[in-house]
Amino acid sequence: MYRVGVDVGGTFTDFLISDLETGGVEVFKHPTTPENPALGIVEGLKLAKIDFSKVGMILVSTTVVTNALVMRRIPRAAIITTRGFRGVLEIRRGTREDIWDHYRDPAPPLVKRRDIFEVDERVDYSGQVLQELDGEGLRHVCSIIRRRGINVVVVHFINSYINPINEVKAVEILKNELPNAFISASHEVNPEPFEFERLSTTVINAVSAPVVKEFMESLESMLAEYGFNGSVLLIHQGGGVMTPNAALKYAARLAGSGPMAGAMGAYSICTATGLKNAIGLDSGGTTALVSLIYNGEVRMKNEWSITYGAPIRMPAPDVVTIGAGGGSVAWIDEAGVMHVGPISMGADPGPACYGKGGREPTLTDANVVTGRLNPNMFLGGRMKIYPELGEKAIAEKIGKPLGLSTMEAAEGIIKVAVTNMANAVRLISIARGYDPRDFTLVAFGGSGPLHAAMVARELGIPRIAIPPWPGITSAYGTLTMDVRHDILQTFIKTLSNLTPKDLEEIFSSMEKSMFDILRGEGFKDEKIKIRRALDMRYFGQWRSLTIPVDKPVGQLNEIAERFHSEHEREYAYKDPANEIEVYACRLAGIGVIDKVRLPTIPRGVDSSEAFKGSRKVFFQGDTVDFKIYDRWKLKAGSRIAGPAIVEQMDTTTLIPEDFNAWVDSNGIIFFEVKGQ
Amino acid sequence: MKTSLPDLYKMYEVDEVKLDNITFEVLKNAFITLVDQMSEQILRTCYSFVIYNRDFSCCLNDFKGDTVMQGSQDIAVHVGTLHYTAKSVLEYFGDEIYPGDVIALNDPYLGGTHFPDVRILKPIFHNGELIAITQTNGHWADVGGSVPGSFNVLAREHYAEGLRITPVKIWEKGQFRRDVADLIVNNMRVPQERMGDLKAQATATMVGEKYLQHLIEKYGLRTVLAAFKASQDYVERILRERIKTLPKGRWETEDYIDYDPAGEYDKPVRIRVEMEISNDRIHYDLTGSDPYVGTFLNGAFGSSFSAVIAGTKFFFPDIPLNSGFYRVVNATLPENTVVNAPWPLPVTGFCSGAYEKIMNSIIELWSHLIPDRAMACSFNLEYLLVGGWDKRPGYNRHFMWYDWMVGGYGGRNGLDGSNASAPLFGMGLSVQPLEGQERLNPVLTIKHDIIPDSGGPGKWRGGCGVEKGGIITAADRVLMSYMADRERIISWGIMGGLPSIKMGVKLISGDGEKWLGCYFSGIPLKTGDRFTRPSAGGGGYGDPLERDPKLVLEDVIDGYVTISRARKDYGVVIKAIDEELGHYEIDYEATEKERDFIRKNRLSWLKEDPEKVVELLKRGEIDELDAVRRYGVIIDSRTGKVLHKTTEVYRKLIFTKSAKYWKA
Repeated sequence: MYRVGVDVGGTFTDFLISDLETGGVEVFKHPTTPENPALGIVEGLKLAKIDFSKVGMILVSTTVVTNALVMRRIPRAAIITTRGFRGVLEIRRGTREDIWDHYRDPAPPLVKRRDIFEVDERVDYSGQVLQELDGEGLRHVCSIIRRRGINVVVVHFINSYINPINEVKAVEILKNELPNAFISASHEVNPEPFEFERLSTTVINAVSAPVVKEFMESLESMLAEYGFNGSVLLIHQGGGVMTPNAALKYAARLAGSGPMAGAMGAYSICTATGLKNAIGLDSGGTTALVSLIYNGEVRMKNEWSITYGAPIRMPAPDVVTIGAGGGSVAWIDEAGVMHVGPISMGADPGPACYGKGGREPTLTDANVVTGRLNPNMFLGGRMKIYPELGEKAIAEKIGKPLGLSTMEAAEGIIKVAVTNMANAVRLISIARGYDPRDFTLVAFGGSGPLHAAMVARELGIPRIAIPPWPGITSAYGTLTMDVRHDILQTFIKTLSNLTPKDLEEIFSSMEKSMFDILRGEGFKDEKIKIRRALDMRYFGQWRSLTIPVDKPVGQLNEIAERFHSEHEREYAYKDPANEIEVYACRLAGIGVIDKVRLPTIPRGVDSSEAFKGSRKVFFQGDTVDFKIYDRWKLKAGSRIAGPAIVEQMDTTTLIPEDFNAWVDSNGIIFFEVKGQ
Repeated sequence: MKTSLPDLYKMYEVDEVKLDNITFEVLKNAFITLVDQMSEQILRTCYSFVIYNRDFSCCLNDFKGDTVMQGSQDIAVHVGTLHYTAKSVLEYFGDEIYPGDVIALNDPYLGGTHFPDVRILKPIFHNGELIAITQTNGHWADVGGSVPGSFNVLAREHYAEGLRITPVKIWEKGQFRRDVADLIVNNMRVPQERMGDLKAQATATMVGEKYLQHLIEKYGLRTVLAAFKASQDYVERILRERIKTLPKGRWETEDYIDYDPAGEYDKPVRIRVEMEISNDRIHYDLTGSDPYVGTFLNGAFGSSFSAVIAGTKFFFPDIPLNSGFYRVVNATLPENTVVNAPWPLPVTGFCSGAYEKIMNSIIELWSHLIPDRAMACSFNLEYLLVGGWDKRPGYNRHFMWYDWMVGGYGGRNGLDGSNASAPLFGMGLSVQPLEGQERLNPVLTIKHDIIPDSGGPGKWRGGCGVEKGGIITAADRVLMSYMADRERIISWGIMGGLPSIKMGVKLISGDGEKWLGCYFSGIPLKTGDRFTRPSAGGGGYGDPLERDPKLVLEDVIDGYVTISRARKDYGVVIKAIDEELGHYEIDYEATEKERDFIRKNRLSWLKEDPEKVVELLKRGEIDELDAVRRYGVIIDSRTGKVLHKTTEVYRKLIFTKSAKYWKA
């Protein structure tokens, strides 16, 4: 039997096929088919020449929802809301992404004002119904929606998070009136206060569902054609996978494929090696994504967005994204100061040294010019590189204007890019109360391993880990995921007005529905894990912290203690004299899937077999001899002393002179500052 | 006390430091990260919802008090004032600043903005030498005074506005001074929240200090000092380079506050702005602005300077803000005028008074110089405060429903104005969720929606404004206060664009409907009373008769413009075919005729006898919007009578800003 991990990216779809009997692994890439990503998946699998009927499970990470939202290739939708509040989606919170740029607008709402309808109904802050739902009015709205041919309908009433009765009634009517429509009610998708965020989340969820449906129908029918009769699971941003059926209900959870892919790479290395604390640095062609894993859990945030002004209130990895990748352009402003990024040349025309017409100096050019990257090793040597074009671009656009030699200018470009990456790491660690010195930097993506050591040095991160396939870490990551559902119940009360029993009651009832869901998906009780947490804050504060709690709910003063110390870690102070307010109960239900292990590689301390020679690299203002190694000839237990460079098809790892590296049994390269 | 601090730039001969380009870029970005870290800290720990919704700023000042770096998401109104605060603290304490001190102040007469903006500063020492200051400024929800929220239009001196905090040490030599902190917060409503804000801001300054010390450890003090100076030189240099490419000369314009509630009823208060661009600097001269007024609509020096900087910054969005900017841009703000009112005059309402008039004037001037970033006048900042005693079941406590709205921005060159955006005063200031407000207050929101026809007509329409209103559900001793403007000097268009709609509060109680206008304090309300108010839209850009009829049609389909105003404002005649399907059609022939008719008559409409216009209005031949948009006549909403002086001023204003650009 086989298990397949698939990561559908913008350019390539990555595959990892694990033979569950032999433990063997096959890894490859196939071009993505943007028009119908399912096609690329099936085509890629065909290339692997495996018997489809022997594939038990395919785990898919896909950008299909993200892309549909960014490109706005989404179905027309209607919103039905409380009278007086037709403008909520467009009013948002009224802020702008760049407050000084009055020509840069947030993306227009996903539903036009013409398709937003009001009905009479009202519930107050306490859940009391002030006005019953006007069923007649709603039926009339339904007739308009029907006439307009709209098949996606969002129901969003004020205060429905506290009492959904009017929304529930509305959904009943809608199901009768519009039997073929996707109906999404805000109290089901996101039962939290704050009308705009709940509406935004519900709208994104509603318009994504048909996108998921189309993708899954296409994928499943094509797979069936080739004899596949196993199951497909989809990676969601909550740090798990879900069934296609669950995905239809919570389609917005697939929107976070970007941040999820960034975090998953680092997370999978943690699960494989038992690392508890890691910072993930995923740097590719245009961006660097930085994520954080603390105590074995990906650091999440409860609200995020793909485009500014359209929040999605569902947990997603807390990822800092900056414009620093191989294609990032170095440029000089009017005052003569150099910047790197956020503009990127991407893959086409790409860096100047690609010879595809790019004239701007990029980070990749700087790495080629200084000798860090081997021009004969791009795509394993299949792609021709023109270092002289990179040199020319750097000399003309950076070196000459700044009065620097080409080498100095190139190294300057790298240094600025590294600082930008380090600042991103600083924002996700130090600014959130974590000391980077307690972490391992897991670097992947095309250009992460090349810059990891410099980033680590900048912040005092003692250790770096490079996964075996840095370019396809996400495809491997899919195989380390469990089925996961997250539910939330808003519950606002001060801790002193609560007993453990009150909380136990809420959690128990949430747990019961969670068991129903997971059992319905075929999980036996022993494979079901439940995690409980409370969102809490000091009374009067606006943001809350998510604090794990035990089952059964223990002493409240212990929970309070956990909150105080987490507040102190995160915000550098605690305030034990202040009241603590509970804001919401969160419950995660996990259906455990048997995992695929990383394959082991042969042992052997001798690294000389992998030694390919040495190369002169312009490094820290000097020309330094770096020893060059072939990654796939390194054995478990091999040691390498810097300065060294490890090459493989899709990535280059740079180990400076002050680092020692070794290879573990799975082929992960670790390196540490010498003498530690 | 005078400061005797040494000039560290000279002492350490920082000009001799060969700060290479790369190290400079690295440190400059590190300063940005430092300020961002402080902002993140405040946002996550503050107690005031005003701060939480981003009415705050952070910065790093050098040992002179000059600003090295300010946060990229900071609220506009604090821009250009934080260095004054730092300098005044240095001057006030002189040699008596010690490691471990944390200083608070909110004094508008020392370069601050208004009392609610409380600034917390932490002087940073290295080897016993004061080398920098980290500073945070947060708008506290209340700083005392006679009305909840501390906006008091009845105040004639600052004593009635709130607590004035002259520079005071909250921590001295590392010791928290509980006595001092208690004195401050206990003179404000909800003291425990204010204490929370104070500590959140102070902690943020400490977070900034920690990172700065790390940078010094890594790069050395001398290099960091050199980077302080280089960061300012950099901004100065880049701005001067930009100015070189601009035409040189003098331009002037004016705008008006509706009137002084303590002064003459029919007399707009003039603000005049002259801009001179010479080879390498921009100078603004506000001479010719009217004398200060008797109420809090005045600007103090700091806030008016901030308006000058913020307006200019709109045209250079990518240039970072620090004192280098202020070396190139400066302003003459004549004393004893409405843009530079002296102690002890009230200035807390400057943000709805002088501030945005200066900003909109500057944006208008630049719109002619850099047409690619042009924008007509935007809606005016407004704050509505309803405070009293919450008597809902289970509640018995003080409440404050403190609300502000988004509104429309002016039409732009090639783009309609943004609908429903945060005020120019603070573009990052987000509106509050009404579901949150309803939990905290006995006020039920009855509406939060976009207003049709509120965007000023133009070739590029002004953004639409918003209406928000509420009903008091169960409360005692409720007082309502309001500060806004542009009930009369309605947000204007440029380059041929037309005005938006008037602002002002309407009260609906057992006694019927009552117009309360834009400035009032302490109006009593009781359970069951309703109030509502619009935010205006932005003025239009360019001649509305040149707007593509298809765009007008789209606006009609979405309800941004009504069919009747499509005809009157744009001369576009639209027929509803099937409203349920959103199916409308343009009658091109009728449109051409209508446009010809308007084109032939509109200049004479602007000269029509105002009394005749009132007659037409009374007879129902025209409506209120026609009176403003077609005739330029301003009618008192309370009496229905013409405000003659105001009309004269307004007609002149719309002619010079807009009507003179109409083609015959």
